Amino acid sequence: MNFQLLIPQSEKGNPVILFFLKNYFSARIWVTFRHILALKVDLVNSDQKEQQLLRGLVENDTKSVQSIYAANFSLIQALVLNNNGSYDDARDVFQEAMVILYEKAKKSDFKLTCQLKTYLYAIAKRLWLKKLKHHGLFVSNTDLSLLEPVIAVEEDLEMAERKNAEFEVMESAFAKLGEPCKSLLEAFYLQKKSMSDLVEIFGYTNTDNAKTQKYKCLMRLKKLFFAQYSK
Amino acid sequence: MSEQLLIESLERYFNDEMLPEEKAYFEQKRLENPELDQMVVTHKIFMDKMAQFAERKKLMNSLSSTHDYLLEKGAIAEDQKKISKGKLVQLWHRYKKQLLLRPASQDLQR
Repeated sequence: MNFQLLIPQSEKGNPVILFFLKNYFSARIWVTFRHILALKVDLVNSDQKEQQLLRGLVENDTKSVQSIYAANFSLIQALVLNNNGSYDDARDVFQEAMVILYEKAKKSDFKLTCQLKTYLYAIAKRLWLKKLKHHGLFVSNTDLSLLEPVIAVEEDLEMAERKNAEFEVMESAFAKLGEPCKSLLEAFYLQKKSMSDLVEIFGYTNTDNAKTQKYKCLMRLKKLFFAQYSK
Repeated sequence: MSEQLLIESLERYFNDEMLPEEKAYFEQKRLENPELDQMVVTHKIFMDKMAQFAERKKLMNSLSSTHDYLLEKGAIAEDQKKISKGKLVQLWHRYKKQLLLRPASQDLQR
């Protein structure tokens, strides 16, 4: 817009007008610049928010877990439901993806290179595709977009498989342990109960007896674990 | 040293609960005794796996209780059509049948 034309000849010398003309364009540029800056700040903020949520996930903070869960479950649910899956499948796939996200976020060198949603979606997609293939359910009418990779998550899936295998070894060792060893060790190592709590819960006569029992159980679990783990 | 005492001191060693002198003594023993050293390494692997197992169990429990909580709250749903953002919409879905049926039944009585 050319302001020169709007200003009467008599006012051309007015210092106020001169000041305005001189500064109008730089002001515009400044406003635009501020705009871009604000947009960038917005992006950084949402990025920071996601980082915060992930930290919460690692620390097992209920609010963060709920927030990530609520914001992403429906998307994964739609993906699974639209591809021959049930509600229960959707829940399993989503929770498995959350565990993978947790394992990834726990690493000290972790940095999220894409949005949380994109990451969970990519992981869930691969997990569901694998399950479909595993059950021989992968039929031609399955949405073919399921095959398109979203982002590269190969490494994370491989890591997850290793962790799953380890988890299963420990779980089966616990299962083979029998009672009261199983409950005793779970109370101490999983629920982090103290020795005096164990005495009370299980009715030992004193802490030393509980300690001896815990030791014996631990050695049995260790043996069961390594019998599977070293294979 | 009985094996039970040894395992207990291993746990204190891993948890960094030993006094500096005790720790130094223990590390010296490890250097001198390869069998002990091997035992420390194996037990460390086992305890690490156990810790990871405990962590994951905890996470899985928290995920499953979160699922139930959000389901109850209406933030997620078994049938996706029922998901609603606002309280009013939630209430509408819950009571629409009663609201729509009531005038009709009153009409019939008249």
